[in-house]
Amino acid sequence: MEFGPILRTLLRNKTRFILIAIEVALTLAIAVNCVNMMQDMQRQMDEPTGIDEANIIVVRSLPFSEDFKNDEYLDNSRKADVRLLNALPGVVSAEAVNHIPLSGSGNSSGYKPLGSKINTLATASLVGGINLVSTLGVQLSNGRDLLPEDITDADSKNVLITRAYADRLFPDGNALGQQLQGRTAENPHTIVGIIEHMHGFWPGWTYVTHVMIVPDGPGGFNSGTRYLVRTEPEQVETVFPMIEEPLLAANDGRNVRVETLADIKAETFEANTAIIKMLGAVIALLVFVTSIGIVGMTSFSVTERTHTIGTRRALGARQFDIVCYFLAENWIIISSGLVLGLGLTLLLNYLLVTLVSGAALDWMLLVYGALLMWAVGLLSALFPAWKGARIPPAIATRNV
Amino acid sequence: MVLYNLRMALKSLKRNPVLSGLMVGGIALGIGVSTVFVTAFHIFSMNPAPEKSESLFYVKIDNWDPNRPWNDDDPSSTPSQITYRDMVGIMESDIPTFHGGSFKTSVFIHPDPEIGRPYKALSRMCFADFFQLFDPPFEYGSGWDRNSDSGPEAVVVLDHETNQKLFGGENSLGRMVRVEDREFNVVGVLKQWRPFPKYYDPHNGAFEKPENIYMPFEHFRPLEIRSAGNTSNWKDFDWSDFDQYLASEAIWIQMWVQLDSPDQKGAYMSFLNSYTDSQRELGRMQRPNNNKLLNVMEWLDDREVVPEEATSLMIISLLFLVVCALNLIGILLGKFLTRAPEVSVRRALGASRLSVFVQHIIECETIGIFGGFLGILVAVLGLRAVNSLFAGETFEFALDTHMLLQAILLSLVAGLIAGLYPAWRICSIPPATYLKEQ
Repeated sequence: MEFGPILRTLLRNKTRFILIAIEVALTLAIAVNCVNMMQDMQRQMDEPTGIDEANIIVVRSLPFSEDFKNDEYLDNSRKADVRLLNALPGVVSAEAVNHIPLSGSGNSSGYKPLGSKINTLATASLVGGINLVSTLGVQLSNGRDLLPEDITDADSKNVLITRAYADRLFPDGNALGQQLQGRTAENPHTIVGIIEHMHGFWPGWTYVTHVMIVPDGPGGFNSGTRYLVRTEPEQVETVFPMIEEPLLAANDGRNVRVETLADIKAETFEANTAIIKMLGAVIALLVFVTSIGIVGMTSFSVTERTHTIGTRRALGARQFDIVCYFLAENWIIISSGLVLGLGLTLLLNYLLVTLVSGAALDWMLLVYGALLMWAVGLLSALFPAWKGARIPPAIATRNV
Repeated sequence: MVLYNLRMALKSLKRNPVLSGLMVGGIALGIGVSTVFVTAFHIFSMNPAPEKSESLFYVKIDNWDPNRPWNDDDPSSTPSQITYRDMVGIMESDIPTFHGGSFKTSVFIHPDPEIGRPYKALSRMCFADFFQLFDPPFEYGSGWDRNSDSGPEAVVVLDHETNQKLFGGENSLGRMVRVEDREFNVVGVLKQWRPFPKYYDPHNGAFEKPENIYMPFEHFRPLEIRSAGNTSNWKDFDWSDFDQYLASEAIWIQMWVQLDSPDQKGAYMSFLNSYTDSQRELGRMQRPNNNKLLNVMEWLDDREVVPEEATSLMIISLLFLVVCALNLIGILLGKFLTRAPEVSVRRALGASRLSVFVQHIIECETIGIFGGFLGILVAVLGLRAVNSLFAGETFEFALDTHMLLQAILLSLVAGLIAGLYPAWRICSIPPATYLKEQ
């Protein structure tokens, strides 16, 4: 293939080709940045939370009967509910908890090593009964699980924390057995166990992997009481409808709401899911519009050069040579667009990162983007080029 | 002349319907997609109270930890809500035209057993001035008067939905509603009200619905109600003790004032400063004075209520429009230049460059206008798709007249910009070259 004549032709007629090159460049920049955003959002949703999300049911007991204002009554009712939920067939473990992990709503506190001068470090505080580890399905990597004697009236508690939080508090890795204080040195907690990995209440929060589990009886008259129920694998559907009725039968002075943790998580990520779909639609439309542009451009260069094509054919060029000519021309334009697009992609990414804290660019996407644009370019040029190749050599003899 | 050119343009468009379809369709996609995302951005960044946004102020007081600012990354930051004791303290002032703190909570409503089981409803605990500050529209009755605040009297304002649920939507003034363990007298029913964003309290989602019922603030004390919104605290106390809770440094109240003149604002600011000075003498507020009065838009800015994704999507969609315009330029250029022989004849017969230029610009604008109208259709469908993606939300994105006009204007501008260069090229070709070839 002779690139020289193709290049010289292009340079003589440059405006339209420059336009297409810019269009390709912009398309690359937008598409790559959109996919980058989509990836970033999908990554947030796919991050392992350490929790057995698929097999957990969330139950809320919302009391209206005045009886629940009595602390002892509330306590007994919670214990009865936990017993009842644990006894349901198909349930691995059920436990009361102050807020629902991954729900976007919860409670955080700050702690530091006892006696330390540093600022306290934030963590989600999951307050609940002693069986939370098995109910959440998280892995304990060091130390021990909570025991019945850990439930005390004292404000100092034996607590579990995640490895990520432990490593920030004790970079030397000796967190187990250490004590943690809040702003003041009163009532320090003692770390008795380390959880390998778990996410807290707010997906997307900088410290989402910081979690502390504090043994205590959660719930109140106003806030109600929340329970997590972990079922045998794939038993959520079976257990789900069996929950409300016995709870209301046990105590009618309240409303009961049952949801799956998977649904709650999906709701938390609703905006992410929607934005991923919107970005996908924008990319599809964009590539479509650009391919129309390429079809248009190639068609015009074919029409414009009807005579030249006829002459070339008359002088012995095969149809294949004509197709190749236009494809090569197309390839040159797309490629120069891609070179320009590289710069634009970086510029747009820079804008998105600085203006709206977008994600830094994944370089592989540029490669995929370039491959996509080449493919789209060649496919779009194919039909007009083929039409050009069918111009009969006789044309060259007419009209001249 | 314009009419003649228009006829020419339509004829030219009809001559090659596929190409014309692609041009109109391309620009329609550009206008449609960008209108969808500009509309979304516009809705998110709207001024929710245009008439009062300069006279309503959100009050911030710095009661935070002397050793650590509210926001570690910004030492000049002020906590985003205030404590109960500070609200009581600053409501002593008679400088503001209207003022009052409020918070969100959830309470049980006990309907007539025939209607249904008791259910949790969201309630705003607020003062009489709330209804003056934010002007919610009333269907029946009105808010309560300031005297009812201090009792507090057992009065309640229902939103439209709650009145539908409890009283079938009829005029329920004077009827009783049982909230938690006591009866409240209905003094007002709101019409549908959806401030967007929910500027008076954006803490738990700036775009959530307003509360279902409104009750005098001080009822929270006998009912021992706590905030169901956001609470932050830096100084330990026994949370289970309600009196300690009230006296604590925990912040959970949103405080608003109406100040109608700069003088009034100045006077109120110095009142706030002297208030914090006096608290400092009592041993509280050991940080330097850092009180703030933010008007509505400053407050929404401070809360960063516009989702970043809305901004990114708008930028991307506008670039998309640029791609569509470039596309149009390319196609027009090709189309016009193939017409060179015809134009040459016209030029040879005496048509001026200007008239050739005008003829082609009008053709571009025709495409732009068609594209614009089709684009609005695309935008309507696009917004419907976007709404279906947010099925769990209670708000809807919709086009308003402002956005419609903007779409039409955008299509005219796009047609003009896309047409300028091709029209200039075609009017400046030398006729002789093409005449020779014929």
